[in-house]
Amino acid sequence: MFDLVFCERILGIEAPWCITRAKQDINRQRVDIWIGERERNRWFKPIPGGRAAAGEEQVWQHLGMGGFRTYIHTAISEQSADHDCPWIGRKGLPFTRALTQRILELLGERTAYGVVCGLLNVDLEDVWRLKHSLDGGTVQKPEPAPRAPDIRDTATITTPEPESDIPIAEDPVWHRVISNESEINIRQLGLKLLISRVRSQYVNADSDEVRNMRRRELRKYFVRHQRSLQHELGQLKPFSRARQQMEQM
Amino acid sequence: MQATSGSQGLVSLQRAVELIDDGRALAIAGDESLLKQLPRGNWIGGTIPYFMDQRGGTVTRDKLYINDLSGIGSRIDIRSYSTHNLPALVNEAPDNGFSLIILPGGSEILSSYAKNAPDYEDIFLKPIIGWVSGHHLDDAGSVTPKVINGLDGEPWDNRAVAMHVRLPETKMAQLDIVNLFQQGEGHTFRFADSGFSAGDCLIDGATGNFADYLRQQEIDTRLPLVADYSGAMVNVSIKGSDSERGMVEFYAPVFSGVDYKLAAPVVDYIDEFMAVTPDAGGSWVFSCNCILNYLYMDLEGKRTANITGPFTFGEIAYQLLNQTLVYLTVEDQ
Repeated sequence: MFDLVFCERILGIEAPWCITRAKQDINRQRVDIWIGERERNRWFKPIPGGRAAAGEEQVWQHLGMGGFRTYIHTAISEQSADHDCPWIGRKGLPFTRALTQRILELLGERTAYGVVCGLLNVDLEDVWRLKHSLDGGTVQKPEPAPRAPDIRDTATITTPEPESDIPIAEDPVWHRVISNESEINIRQLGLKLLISRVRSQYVNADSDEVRNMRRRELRKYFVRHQRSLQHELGQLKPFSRARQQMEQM
Repeated sequence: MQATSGSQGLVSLQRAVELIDDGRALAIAGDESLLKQLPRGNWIGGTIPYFMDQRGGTVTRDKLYINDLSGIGSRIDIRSYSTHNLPALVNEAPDNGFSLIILPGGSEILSSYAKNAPDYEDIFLKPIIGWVSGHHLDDAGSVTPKVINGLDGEPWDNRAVAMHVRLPETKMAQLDIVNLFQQGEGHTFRFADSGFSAGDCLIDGATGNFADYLRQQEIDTRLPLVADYSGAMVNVSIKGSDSERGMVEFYAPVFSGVDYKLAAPVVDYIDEFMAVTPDAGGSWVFSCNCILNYLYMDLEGKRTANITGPFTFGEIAYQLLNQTLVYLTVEDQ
């Protein structure tokens, strides 16, 4: 049996919300918790029997408890909950706000997807769904990462990495290529498909951070395939900031 | 055929068994009845009875088409995937090498891959080539396309199999396509939702219905929709159109936010194919072509240069393609 008061405390569930029902599955190492609105006459009696919220029930995976996966079921809308409510999630996404934040923090530190799944006991497919939504601009990152240098801010740009002919991620050449300001002829199929995807995500991105991610993604392709991309790299050079700075010296 | 490392072609069941027993790493295409008779070993397979052989397009239930990948890679791993762990395909693909994937036609996992693979992390960084299994067209409705992981020999119609081939540092895999279709001069279509079917859409920016358009304009639906991905022409073939329902079904998903045009007609498939296809020299490792090209271009008994391989229910070059030849070469770095 659950101690629902304790459960509400560790999950951060506060009035007017309460746990209306809970179920544990030892074999599947899983806990399911239903959250609804507290009955008025039971305001200070957090016992099962609170009123289920009206509307369509959503299910999100929440931060685990004692090695058990925890799933939140509720019809409470994200708009109805406080802006810092940890156990609510966005419709159509797999995780609560709290778990989403942990995942994005780890991914932001470039933790491998497999490691993220292992650390947080989440499925790769669900992480991918979250990432996909993030790329599409439907999810706000909880904590903005340090701002990357503005691509128009020449003061912060130095020279390309000495070991590489590939412009650094902050070089404006990546913005120009992605936004089609500098059209280049591409021979490799993978690069054609990648640039198309990056362009659509770049246009739809609602933050500089997402656009920075897209620039880094494109640069990563050039780093990985440098030896077979001389045709494309040769076209980048005239547009790179480092090249322009050298010419001005 | 004298199968050597990197060789390919149609072989008898007995020869395929010998190659498997010899420990070769094989990608095999053939009729399900033959695939089921193969011993366990280092192979992956998919069902299809249509092939381009050195003698021309052919249909046979009595032979198997093999690609012998032994000796090409420094390490070869065979994996099976469900819909749930399919995104791990890219993570498990080698940093230097390629992955050959086979997905069962008409399956949920194919649908998942088709819709989601373009957004997989790093999908375009690693060469992923492959095909969609099928069946003899006479068997439509009575059998389902299958894939087989040779390590356990079990046929599946809802899983994918892949062979991950790691290459030595001196070698490099290159993946490319031959698509004879170009965007035509006509109207531009844009769909609100991604999916294998569509009805209402924007036609040159104005609201319309794609099924109505096809009927009113008397469009030859053997011509695919073509999208221009930064110079790569990507086809979406039309499966059928129901003007009463106002819906059109596709063999691959259309994606929202992408502009499509109907393809310009191909006058002479063989001549145009020969003109644009690179020489199939010794660096060619794998290729496959679309069953719709086999049917619509009437390729039975006709040769397409020296390019051989199965005719498939869909082609994979990173993402699902239609009416396209895909090929992979391995060259010195």
